Amino acid sequence: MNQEQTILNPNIGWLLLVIFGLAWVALGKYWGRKADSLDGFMLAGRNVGMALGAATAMATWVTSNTIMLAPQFALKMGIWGMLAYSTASFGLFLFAPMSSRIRELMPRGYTSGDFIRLRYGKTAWVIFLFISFVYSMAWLVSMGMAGGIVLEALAGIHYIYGMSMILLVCVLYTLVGGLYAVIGTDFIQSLVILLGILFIGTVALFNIDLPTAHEQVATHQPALLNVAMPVALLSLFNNMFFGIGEVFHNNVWWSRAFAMRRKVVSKSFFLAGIFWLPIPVAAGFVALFSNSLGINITDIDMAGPLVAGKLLGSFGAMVLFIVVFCSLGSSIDSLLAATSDLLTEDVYRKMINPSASDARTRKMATYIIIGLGVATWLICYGRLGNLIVVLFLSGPLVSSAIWPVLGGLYWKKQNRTGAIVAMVFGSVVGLYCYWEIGWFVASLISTLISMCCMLVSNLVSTRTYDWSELAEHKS
Amino acid sequence: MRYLVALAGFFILLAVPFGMLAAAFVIPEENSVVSEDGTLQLEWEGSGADASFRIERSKNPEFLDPSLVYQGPDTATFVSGLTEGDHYFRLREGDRTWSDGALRVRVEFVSQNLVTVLLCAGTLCLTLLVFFLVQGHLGKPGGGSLPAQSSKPGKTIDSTVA
Repeated sequence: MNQEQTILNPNIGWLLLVIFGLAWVALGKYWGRKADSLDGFMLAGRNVGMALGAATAMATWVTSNTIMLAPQFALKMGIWGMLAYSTASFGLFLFAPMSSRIRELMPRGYTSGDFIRLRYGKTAWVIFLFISFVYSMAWLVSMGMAGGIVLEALAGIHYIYGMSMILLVCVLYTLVGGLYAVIGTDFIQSLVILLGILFIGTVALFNIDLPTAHEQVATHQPALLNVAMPVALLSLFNNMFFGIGEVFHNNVWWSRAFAMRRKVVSKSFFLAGIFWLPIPVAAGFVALFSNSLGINITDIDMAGPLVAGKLLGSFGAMVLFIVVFCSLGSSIDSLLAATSDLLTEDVYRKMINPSASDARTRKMATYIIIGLGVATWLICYGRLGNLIVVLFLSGPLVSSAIWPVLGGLYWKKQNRTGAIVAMVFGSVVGLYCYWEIGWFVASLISTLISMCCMLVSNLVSTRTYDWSELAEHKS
Repeated sequence: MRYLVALAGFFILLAVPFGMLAAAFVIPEENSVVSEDGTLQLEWEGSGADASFRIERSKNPEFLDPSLVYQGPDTATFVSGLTEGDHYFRLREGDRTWSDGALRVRVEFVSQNLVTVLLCAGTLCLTLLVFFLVQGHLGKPGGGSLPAQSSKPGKTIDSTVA
């Protein structure tokens, strides 16, 4: 294959990488001095306010996928593709009221796994943990890969080195600071991301002659402007339910719900959704008109960086580099922390060593963070397939958990059998449809199957659940 | 005599400049492919460095109305936005001949019936999701309710595990 010269000088790329890497680790160490207790390490003392809460939720949801996949969506599916990616914000909007419900029901809860175990029992819990772990690893790997690809595309930093540096920095400051470090750095990263995207979007608008660009797309890529494009329409719902499933089930969001002050938790998630929504639209918009800018997209995975690099020149490439690095950091640290919490609390403390002290548990959490970092690095080293394939394979799994979570929080009559069948059947059918029809229907079908199972089981169930069982304190 | 003819043919072949051979698509490998979303990754090989390539697309195999897809030194491009039907692609390096045989890409979108069914089902699912969420959040009958104050000493969380 071809390749254009890198837009950013590799030395500048390395310099930025080292400067920001050291800054995040130092900040993580500074904020992490409060993380001496288990609650401090895992849940930032359960006292996070609205500004930090909204910032961390928004920053966590702005991943490298937002900046890399949103352009892909737009380039493949046009207008609807661009909007399809932004429907992932629905997950944050819908989780907003749920988060206050979670805090009411489980004031001393730690993980989403806690909820599923108490609500539905051990079998559902194991299935849920499997789904969550597979998805978390898929997300981690996709971001590790994306980081390596972007740094290589922008600054010529070899894929292995770029990917390794990003993972190393994130593991380090998550290790030293826990959720305090994660949320603190997320706040700064969210500001950088918002300002950076604003800059890139503004430059793009000044550089693109919209009528000409529209005419070019209409002539050479007419399907991209087709509002009835089937794949695009289906991906709208598919991505929406994938996003809802990601947020509803994953401990990244539940840990934030537990970490925030009860009075602000709902507003924080809603605000985060508002701030996040325009970002994939801006990223996709730029890619949609790449042809009119004379940019040849050689590899769909590199659409975003290629367009931004060409459009913005060296300074703009620096801005993009920093934005991508921040978006990677804000998501990888959250995933490391939340997945470590889940494995520590649900697997280590509940299954392996129930009598473990808080200090012992905290230590185990740090080992798990390191283990997750190493595992992610090993998988990223192999650099498997297309980014969309890596991540969307987990779509049917997480979508199958939407209705069990919703029903578990709000329906007294919802029983465990229904939840188990919903997750298993939804996942299996969704995966089957992924291979037989396409990725653009898998999450949607999984959600539908899961919904039917849950509605039926709720209708036929006669027993009711005692909500107070969720609110019990640990001994 | 036969050997002399064969030897002559061998030297003639060697004399043919390598650069007179047409550039060719390497991805996709087949001459005819199907796309369900109107996209296509194209990669090709030419004679060597400093080559300039031209790719054209047409709705008919005779290329009566070709449109330019790409022109430049790159050896790959991502094509998107193709409408349903057959599209033909051909490749040329510099001023040399066009690639042997056009690449045919048939774009077949997902069945409209399937799309309609799934869209309706998706709308219903989303509507119900929002409905039950709002219902539960507002604490309407049938939805959830806050846990009652427990007068018993706190049980351990593990005691509720089946």
